[in-house]
Amino acid sequence: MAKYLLQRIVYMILTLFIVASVTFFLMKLIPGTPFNSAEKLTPQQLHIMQEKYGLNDPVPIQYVHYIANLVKGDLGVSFQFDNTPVTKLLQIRIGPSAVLGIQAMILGALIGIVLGVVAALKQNTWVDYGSTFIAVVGKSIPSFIFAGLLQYYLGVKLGWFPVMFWKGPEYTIMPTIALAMFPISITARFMRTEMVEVLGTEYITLAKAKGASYWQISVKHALRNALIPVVTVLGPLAVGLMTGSLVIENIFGIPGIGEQFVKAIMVNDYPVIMGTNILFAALFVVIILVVDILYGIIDPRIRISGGKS
Amino acid sequence: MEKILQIKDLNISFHTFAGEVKAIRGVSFDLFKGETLAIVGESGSGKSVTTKSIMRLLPEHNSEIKGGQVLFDGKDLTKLSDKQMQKIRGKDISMIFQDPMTSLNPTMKIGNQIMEPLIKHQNMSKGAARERAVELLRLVGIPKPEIRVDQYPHQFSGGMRQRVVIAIALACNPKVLIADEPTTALDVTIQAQILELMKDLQKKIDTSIIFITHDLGVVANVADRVAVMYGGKIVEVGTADEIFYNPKHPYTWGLISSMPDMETNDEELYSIPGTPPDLLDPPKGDAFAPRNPYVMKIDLEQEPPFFKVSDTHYAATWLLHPDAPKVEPPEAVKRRQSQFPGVKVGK
Amino acid sequence: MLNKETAISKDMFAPAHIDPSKSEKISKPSLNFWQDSWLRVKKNKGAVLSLVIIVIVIFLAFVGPLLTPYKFDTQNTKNNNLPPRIQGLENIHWLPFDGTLKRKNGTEYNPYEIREVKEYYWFGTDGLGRDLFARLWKGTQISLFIAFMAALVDMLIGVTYGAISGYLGGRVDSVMQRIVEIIVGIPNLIVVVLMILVLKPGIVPIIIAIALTGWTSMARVVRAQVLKFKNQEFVLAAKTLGASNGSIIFKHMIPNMFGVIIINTMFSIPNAIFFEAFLSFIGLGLQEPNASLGTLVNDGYHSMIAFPYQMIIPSIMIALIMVCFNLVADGLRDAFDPKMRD
Repeated sequence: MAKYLLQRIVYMILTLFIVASVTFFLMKLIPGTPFNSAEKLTPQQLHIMQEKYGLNDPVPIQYVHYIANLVKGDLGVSFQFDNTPVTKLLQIRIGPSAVLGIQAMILGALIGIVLGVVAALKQNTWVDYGSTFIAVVGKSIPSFIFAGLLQYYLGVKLGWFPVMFWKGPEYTIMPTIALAMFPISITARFMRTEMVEVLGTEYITLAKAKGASYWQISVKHALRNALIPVVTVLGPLAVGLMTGSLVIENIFGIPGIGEQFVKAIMVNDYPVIMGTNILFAALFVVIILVVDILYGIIDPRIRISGGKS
Repeated sequence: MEKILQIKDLNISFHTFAGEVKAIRGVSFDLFKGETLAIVGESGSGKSVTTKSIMRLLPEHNSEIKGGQVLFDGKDLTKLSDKQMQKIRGKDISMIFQDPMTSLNPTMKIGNQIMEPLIKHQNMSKGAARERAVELLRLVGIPKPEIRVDQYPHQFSGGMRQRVVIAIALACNPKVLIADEPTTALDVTIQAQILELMKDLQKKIDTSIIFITHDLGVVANVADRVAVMYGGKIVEVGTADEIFYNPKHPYTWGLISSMPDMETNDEELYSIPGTPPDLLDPPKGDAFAPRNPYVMKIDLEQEPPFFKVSDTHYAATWLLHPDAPKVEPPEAVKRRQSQFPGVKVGK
Repeated sequence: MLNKETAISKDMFAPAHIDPSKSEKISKPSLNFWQDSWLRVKKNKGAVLSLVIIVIVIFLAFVGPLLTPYKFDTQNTKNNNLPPRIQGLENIHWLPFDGTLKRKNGTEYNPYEIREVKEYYWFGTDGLGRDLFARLWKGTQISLFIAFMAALVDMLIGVTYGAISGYLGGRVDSVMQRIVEIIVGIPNLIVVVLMILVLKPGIVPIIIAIALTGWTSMARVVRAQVLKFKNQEFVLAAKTLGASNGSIIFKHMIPNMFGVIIINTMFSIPNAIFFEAFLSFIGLGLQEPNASLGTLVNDGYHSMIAFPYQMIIPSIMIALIMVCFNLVADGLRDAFDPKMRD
């Protein structure tokens, strides 16, 4: 187990290193500088600005600096926000993003599990078809389209929820729903497949043969076994939430990391783009690792035989 | 002898992608108290479907009992509600499955799985049920049951798991035990142990057993009576001796000829030509006719009724009709028949 | 028990002759792979309906712009922001095609009458007075083009990579698999965004960016299949007959994986449409006057409150296309290989 963990962590670091390097070199390839968009600068001014941010050094030296700083946890300073360190910007912004992401994840997983289980228990009835339809629609329609429609119908037309901004719990409702559509559908589909598979196993038949009631079979025997593999979709879900949050935060005007990232793209604020990329990649690899470890802890079969490869 | 279970003219169909599969076509048999009845036949002959229907364990969405009765304790099991059925399953009738690797819940401790029917049917307290579970594990020959009771299935070997499944099945001292190929998935040495265990336990708790298998060697070892199934029907039924030493149906002949014994040499070992009938569209007449080397015109026209051979022995083949020509059974069968008169009917 | 005996005559007990070849006869017509799959897909009504819708949408994506007298990029600021109005349907008030809009205070007005516009814009016009009907189909055309091209490139890279990795095996395979693992470890959106930043928004860069992230799942599936086939008799037979590695892979193995390849491609099409729309929404989409579904939604979004039709119509189109592709892909997956899961 320790060896397996160590190997995984080495891979994680390697992946992050590659992400950081690729991001860095791609940024260098981008034509234009962060200073040519807004103000008109004379060549001298431009030179001074570039000198200040170390942009006149040869690229390899910049790279070494960048990686060395990265190891120290320094992601550089933002061009657009008066030299604020990127780590600080991310720190300020991560709160709303985390609230939104966690709310959407919990809401999505809960509704998804219920939908999937009900669909599997009522296989090939209208309940099943309805749940499958919700899942397909939720998976198919991009969250930002859904967000736009929600804003228009529930926000503008019906006035049930505030249309935009981040001023209190009621402001989180619509973005959470919009973002939760993806986890709902992924969990529901996965849960249904798992549940159908478990319900078809011999140990469920044996439980029936023992005289167990419908509820005992579906909850005590089937649900528990079907829930375990659902942990594995948490990884893809987290990625979906990150992607979704970029646009959702923009649409709803939420002061989170995603909104800042999109702004940074608009003004070529490289350090913020690079920093956010690395943060996303780090979150992603950590979540995948945590999911694998979690899976091992919940499933008694894996617990004994060590990690799965 | 007291009849404990009666199956009368059972018809079961499956609704599939391709159409209606008539898996069971008019099966009738009785199970007597304390006996072991073996049901033999190739895969797809309907043996498992028959027994699963007794427990009403067939998948509800695509299977249908088209007719017939399953009489147990004066009740027709095919007519009971789910709730009433739950009270019979695991208490009066219980079941052992083929593959011990998949028939235990992987995320539940062995002890809890054994305790479940005890708590459900005998209203035992958790503590009492646990004690009984340990006792049962000891009974089925699992060493250190006090420790094993808290372990998960994956910590047991295949043979040990099948012992656990047997312990679950026997937990409430059932009147009928259905064993669906309980040894097929096990190593030969383990097979013998499990069969011994089952015979031993049968004596202890005086239960009747329906033993499904395609392995005639196993049948010879455990069965009092044998029913041979082919194409969703029973084609021959009799005591074990009658079936082994004086079989009448050409399909049974085929089965016996394909079983090696002391005298067979390599060239002689026989296999039945052809494939089982397509039950989507069962053939007219005798389902076995296309594979029957002794086939007659009537086999292609009419289904044979049961002809009585003795009080305990019936076979559904036109060869037993008085007008039918005398045919010579295969060598292997003749050799056995020559031994038959010396053996008394019944054990 | 034997009461049927009367009808039985003696001659019926004469031996019958059964042609042994007849009993081996297969009673149903044998179906090839495509026929069998089609039969299975056909049972899935959702998938068939979706397929029909997709065909209609593709057809309209080419024909649609020709159906109106207006071009997708002709600006006519005099007629900007007009709501949808269709001849014949304009008098049916509950349909959204009567040419009316609502003010903020809830009162209704008809800009066509107020501005004395004679023309009929079926889906209305945008802020620059461009016909949204023409733009919608033009956008659909471009979005579908991007999606199909990206899926195609995905397929080519994925199949080649997977086949080589699985077929060669050994060290090559493990190195190639480690590379895939690392690529999978990077969130797609990072790669897509970076690629667009470097290449500048445009149809080809978008295709490249999407294709670069999507091929790994195809590569994994194909590799698994190749590993499975590698030791099967038909491949060994081809080997003994001296077939080259290339011909074994492309002539013998890949035709046997059409099912999984098609399913995977079908899933990557909606994925590509999603990323295209996503890029448009974060400002990295196509540039004016070109339109894609993503840019249309994005443009419409900015005037959502006053002119909701500008956002809703392309939104519905994206949703429709995505749902249909997903349903077809699901249907195909169930038909080809019920065991395969997402």
